[in-house]
Amino acid sequence: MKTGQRRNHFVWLLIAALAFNMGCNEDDEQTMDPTLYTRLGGIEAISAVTDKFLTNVASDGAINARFEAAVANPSRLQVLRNNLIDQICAGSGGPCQYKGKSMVEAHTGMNITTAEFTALVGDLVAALDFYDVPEKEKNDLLAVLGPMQSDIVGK
Amino acid sequence: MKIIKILALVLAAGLAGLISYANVRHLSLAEKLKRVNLASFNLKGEISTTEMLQLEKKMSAIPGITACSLNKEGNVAFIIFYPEQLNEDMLTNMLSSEGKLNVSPRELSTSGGCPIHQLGSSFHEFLTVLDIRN
Repeated sequence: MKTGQRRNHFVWLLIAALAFNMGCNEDDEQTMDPTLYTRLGGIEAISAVTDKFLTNVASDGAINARFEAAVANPSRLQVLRNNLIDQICAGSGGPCQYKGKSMVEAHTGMNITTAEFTALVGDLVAALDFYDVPEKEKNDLLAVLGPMQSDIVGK
Repeated sequence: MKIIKILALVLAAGLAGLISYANVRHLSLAEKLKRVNLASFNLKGEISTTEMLQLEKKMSAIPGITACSLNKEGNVAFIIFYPEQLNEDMLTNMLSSEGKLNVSPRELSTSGGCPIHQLGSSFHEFLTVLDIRN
């Protein structure tokens, strides 16, 4: 009788262990599909791309008038940089919270044209290319940021 | 005299409130990164497109510099750097020696532009100064 009870306990333990193991495997499968944030290289890589993007924008004759005063002032540069990093980080699934204004609120009254927005995207692509970001990650990031165009242009 | 005391108390309470807020507010990942500055330089001398890209790569690889870009014409450079590690004089020398160019600091426009307003960013700066976690 006691041997039978022990066998039952053993079988239940085995089932529990298998179930736990299957649960772990499911988690493993989830972690095998990393977020865009992880694929981009995390916060350090995003801040490097953002800095390159900012210097690209500052040197871009088509749009630098929009940015020169902001990047020239250390406190304005800091806020702009933090907002950009947080926005890219949050949009790519990273552990960040964007604390800036909404895109509509921030750009209302600026009358930004499609050509200016296209130039800005070109500067971002150039920054991603500078750091050899793979095509898939580049397209995924642009797909995250692209829909913002309607909130920025012509406001 | 009593009014001055009350005023002093109110100011002290306000400052204490600001210090508390600065130290308990949630910092984003970006806010925890080191502070950066941007400097701009005029470049004089012949430089090809390939040399421009090489110069950007060389400058970006220097510890303390996070990014460097030249304009299309190759006569203006923008550098983002950590002010605790480098200053504009050091950057001028680095650009001169790496690019074999005549380099001089360039003044940037100080008003207008993108919607990061001076008042908001100055308040943010003030909170950062009060934040002992930085």
